[in-house]
Amino acid sequence: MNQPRPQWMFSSFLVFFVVHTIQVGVGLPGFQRYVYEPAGNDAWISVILAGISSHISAFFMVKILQRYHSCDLYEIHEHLFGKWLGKAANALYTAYLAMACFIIVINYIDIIQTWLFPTFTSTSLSLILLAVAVYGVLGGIRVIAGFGFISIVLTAWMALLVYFAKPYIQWDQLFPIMDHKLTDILEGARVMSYTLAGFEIVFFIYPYVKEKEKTMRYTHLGLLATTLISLELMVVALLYFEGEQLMKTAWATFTMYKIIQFPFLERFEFLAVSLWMLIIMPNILLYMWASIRGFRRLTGRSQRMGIILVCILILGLSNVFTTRMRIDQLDSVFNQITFFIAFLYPILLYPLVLFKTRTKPDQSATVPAAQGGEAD
Amino acid sequence: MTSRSRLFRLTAVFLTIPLLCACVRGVPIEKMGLIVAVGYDYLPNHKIMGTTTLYQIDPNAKEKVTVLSNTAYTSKGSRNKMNQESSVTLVSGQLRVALYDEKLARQGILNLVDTLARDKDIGSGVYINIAKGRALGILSHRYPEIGNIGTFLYNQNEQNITGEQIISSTLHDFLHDYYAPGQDPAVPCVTRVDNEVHLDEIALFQGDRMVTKIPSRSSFFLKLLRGRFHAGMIELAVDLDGLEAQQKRKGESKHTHSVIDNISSKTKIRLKGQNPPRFHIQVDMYARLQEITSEIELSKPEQVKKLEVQLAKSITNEIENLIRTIQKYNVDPAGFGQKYKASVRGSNLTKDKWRKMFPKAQFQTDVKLTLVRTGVTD
Amino acid sequence: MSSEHDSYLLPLSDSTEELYESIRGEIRNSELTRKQIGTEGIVLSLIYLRTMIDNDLLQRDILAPLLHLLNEMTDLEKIPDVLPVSQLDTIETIDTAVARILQGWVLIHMDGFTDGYAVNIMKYHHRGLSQAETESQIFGPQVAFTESLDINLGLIRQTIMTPNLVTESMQVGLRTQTSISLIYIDGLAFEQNINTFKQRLNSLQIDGVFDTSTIGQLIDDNSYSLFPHLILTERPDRVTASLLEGKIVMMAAGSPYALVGPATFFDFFKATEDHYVRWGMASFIRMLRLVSLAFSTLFTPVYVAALTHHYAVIPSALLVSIVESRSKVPFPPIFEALLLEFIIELLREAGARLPTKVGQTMGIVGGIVIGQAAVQAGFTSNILIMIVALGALSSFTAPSYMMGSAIRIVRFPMIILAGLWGGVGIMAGVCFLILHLLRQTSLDNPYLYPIYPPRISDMKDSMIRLPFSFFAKRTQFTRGADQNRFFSKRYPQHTEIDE
Repeated sequence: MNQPRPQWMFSSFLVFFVVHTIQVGVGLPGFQRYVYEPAGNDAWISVILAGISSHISAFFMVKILQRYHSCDLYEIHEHLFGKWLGKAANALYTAYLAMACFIIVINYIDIIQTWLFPTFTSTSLSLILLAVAVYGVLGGIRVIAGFGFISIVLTAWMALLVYFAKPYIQWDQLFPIMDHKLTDILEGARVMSYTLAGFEIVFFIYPYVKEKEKTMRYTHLGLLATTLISLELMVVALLYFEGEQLMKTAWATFTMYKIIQFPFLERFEFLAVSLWMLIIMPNILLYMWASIRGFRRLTGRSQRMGIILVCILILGLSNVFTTRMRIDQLDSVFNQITFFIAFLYPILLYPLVLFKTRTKPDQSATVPAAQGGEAD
Repeated sequence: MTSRSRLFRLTAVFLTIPLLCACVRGVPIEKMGLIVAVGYDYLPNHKIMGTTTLYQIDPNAKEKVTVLSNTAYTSKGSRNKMNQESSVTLVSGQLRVALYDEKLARQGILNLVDTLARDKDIGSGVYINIAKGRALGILSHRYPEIGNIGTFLYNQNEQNITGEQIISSTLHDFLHDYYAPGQDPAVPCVTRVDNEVHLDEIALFQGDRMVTKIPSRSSFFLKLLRGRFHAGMIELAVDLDGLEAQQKRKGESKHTHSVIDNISSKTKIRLKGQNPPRFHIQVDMYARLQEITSEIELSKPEQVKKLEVQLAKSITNEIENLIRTIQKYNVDPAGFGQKYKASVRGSNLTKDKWRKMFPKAQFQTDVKLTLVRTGVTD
Repeated sequence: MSSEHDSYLLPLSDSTEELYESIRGEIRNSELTRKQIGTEGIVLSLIYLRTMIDNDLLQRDILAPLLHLLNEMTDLEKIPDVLPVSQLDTIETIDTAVARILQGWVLIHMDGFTDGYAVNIMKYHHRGLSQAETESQIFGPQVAFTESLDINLGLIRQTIMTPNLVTESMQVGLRTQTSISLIYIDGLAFEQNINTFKQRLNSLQIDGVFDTSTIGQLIDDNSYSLFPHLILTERPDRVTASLLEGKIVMMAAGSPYALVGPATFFDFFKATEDHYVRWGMASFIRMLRLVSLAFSTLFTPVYVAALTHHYAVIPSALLVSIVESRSKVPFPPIFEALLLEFIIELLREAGARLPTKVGQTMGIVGGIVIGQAAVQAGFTSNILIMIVALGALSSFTAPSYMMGSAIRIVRFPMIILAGLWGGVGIMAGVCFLILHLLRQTSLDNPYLYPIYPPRISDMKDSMIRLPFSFFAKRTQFTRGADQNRFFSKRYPQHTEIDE
């Protein structure tokens, strides 16, 4: 199995930051109302259930990776399904990653256009985001992982800001607990998959992790951190908003930030929306990086070509999805896809991997080695 | 070197394209008319009259405040018309106070409040007030001692809310209480008395329609019932029964007045029965005696105990009075319905259901008051 | 150079006259002097470059003994015994004679002999040791390097006396032939770093270098970047401290600055003084510098963004004063800010170019005339003047002047981004900056080191400075073989209160 050169590898505990940073993104500002819709005031239980299921999926995901020595999902696909079927699976996955990248870009553009600049055109905004992203992706996975780490360090304090909502909190709104049917709560958990998705990136960064045996631990810690933050935001939203009010609030997290005041800053949400770029940028970087790797594996062309292609795709499509309604429709379609790909797929894949590698696990070394990358 | 210079060129191209093609028009702050307060008045034929107060930015201007007003069918429509009267673009990002006149409020103001919440420029900390008389009369009056009536109202609200003197009625509070099935908004009223502005009453809403007003001291008890209460001052009439009051003047009634300062309190409202709903209200209060009009021997512990009992009794009476009032008007600013909803499984409580249940509800109030200290002297 | 003149490889002529003429033919220089002593029969000629030698030494150590010896002199053999000089060579070819004379030696020749002696009495022109100017500090040694490589090496050697202190010298510059020295401590410096440094120096193909800063830019990891990747310092104590951390130092003849690498971003915010004051104070100052880094890059842009795009974020208490001070200004905030930043840079640059005596007037011109008059004329607002001045002030807190200048330049694109796209622009700039810093390396070592890749144990001496008891292990950044600095054995401490 080809190990990447040591200078491109990073310590395993950065997996925690990568997993956490890619999960936290455009989902968190407004997931509350989608979960509230089916699950009502038990939405927080849905969040916990979704968190648990993300742990289960991640467990299988890392188990699959540990069956191989140092492979990413693209190599595993080709090993499992053979050359052509594997290529087809890779093509689908690459398209999924590029779409995830696009979803993040347009949702953040939508947030900026709603909260800061109604007249800012989508094209210019996506150009700005992509310009920064391309510069980062060209730096390779180490730079991207570093950016994820720094973005968490610089924005973690925002999770504590819900303290400002304290005078408006009504604990009664959480009760009675389990007032909804289990199916409703499970439906809420399914809707959460959009917010918690992203940890499938471990499939691709795994070859670059130094102490691979610790990947499992740090993946779970990252998932736990995300689950806790989502839970916090969900619970505070439930306490802060009345149900019907929450249903009318498109970005509950940002609306809660509206109440925050500092002596030097009257309206925190303006800062929060801008700062959110630090939070979504690692997502764009990671998804773009993973998708251009898929592109190179599929076509054998340089990753630069992949970058240009993904950028053109995002730029072109961001002009199509300009209204809230269309973006919402796309989000709900993506929600279904991501539920399958991030949550179900690793569990479905695991028996197959067991079957393929059952006799001599070391034979997986026959998987063709990836060409030495230029951009990573 | 070639790969690096190619990379450099690529980045440069990516950075200059957005620079060339995108520019958001920004208006410098001094070119904008910053609205501090808006007021809406009732006009017949579904029309409203909007009044806005702006910051006066020219330091040399005589007046410290600019007031514009206009009539239209919607609030945004009136703002558009005002824009035509003004030399600067009117913007609402610095809005602090919204006033609605009583007549308008009795018709329902949800649309007007909702448009504030919908506007991304407006914060959710904007104070909602009801204007007794016309909002125009309050906003356009020339006060000799008030520079800008908008900022004055904002400071007045803020000061009284942080001092726990009146009920908090921010935009968020209003909408929250409106949407909550078991709760109704309560909003302070503003009156102009000659050249002064007073916050003296609390308007109680049924849904988004104002129903009645209660005196502003009732907000102490309302806040006690809402349970979000830290510190506040209240003047109470105390029955002197059983207290050894000295120097009792002849012909004086058996009452004395005392002021207590609520240090901390805990209110527990429990639902005891469902049909009709029966609530048990338990208030535990720690207070500080600020002033008392009769001289009572406070160094004697049993006297203090008795005073505590009498004060508690007086608070119980006031709470019960308040509950009677709100039941009479069938409004629930204290949020008993929320307690009901939280305690009853599968209630599916709606506003209509609660309106039918609330007047029949029964209440039992227990107040326990502890005087923590009586000042530096006994 | 002189390979085509085969004649000069010939032995010296036995006639002084002829010799002098042939040397004159080679060194076409009017300062070439010939001094003859002695009467006929015994005539000694001294040939030298007047401007290259020390006249006092010539009189005391050469002329005086020679004159004393003159009467009993029959041949040259006694000369080495009587001259009290340390460097004396026998010269047999014209070629070496010329080379020595050019280096400031004196050629002693006697008529009738085909060899002579050369004595080194070169006068080395340099200034004396003086105080550090660009990196001045309150505590610690105050001396700075000078332009003399020998003195500088001596200064370092005087502090670090271990035999493991290695100096390797080489020549850079095809025409200037500048001698440079690579200094490191064997066992502390990482082999790979030394090789990288050497390789980059060896691959330099340039006709002349004049200062270590030029060499620094030439061997930099990314010459497009605004940020310095190698530390430039004039303080011997900083160099010795870096050597002990396992870093590699390069010094060049004629330059009072040492180049230290590999360096991290945070090294540029460290001063050696941080180790001379107690840890609380040192940590506070370090954090102050990093805060001022953020402050100086972001404060003016935030002001521009708030006033152009996000007026709603200004609290009401500030609003009135901001708007009133802005009310007379005819320009949009972005032009106002750029103009003021430009004026500040103008003042700084003019102040740096002027002699110190005149420089004081710059303060008056800048502070009173421009500052106050600009506000009164309605050119700018008071608040912005304050913000811009604070930003400039914070950029000067970086102990490295290079880093301070980089920060000041970064402000300008930030202001433009803020003026164009408000908060979004600022954040795009910040993201780009972070990515840029993440992509940088210093001699192939990560630039943002203790932050990324994160290593908690090395944060003890980066953004903060902990007490010395934490410093038993050396930083892992330089990956030296010997990790131990000292064994933190403390004198016995009582654990029980009052006993």
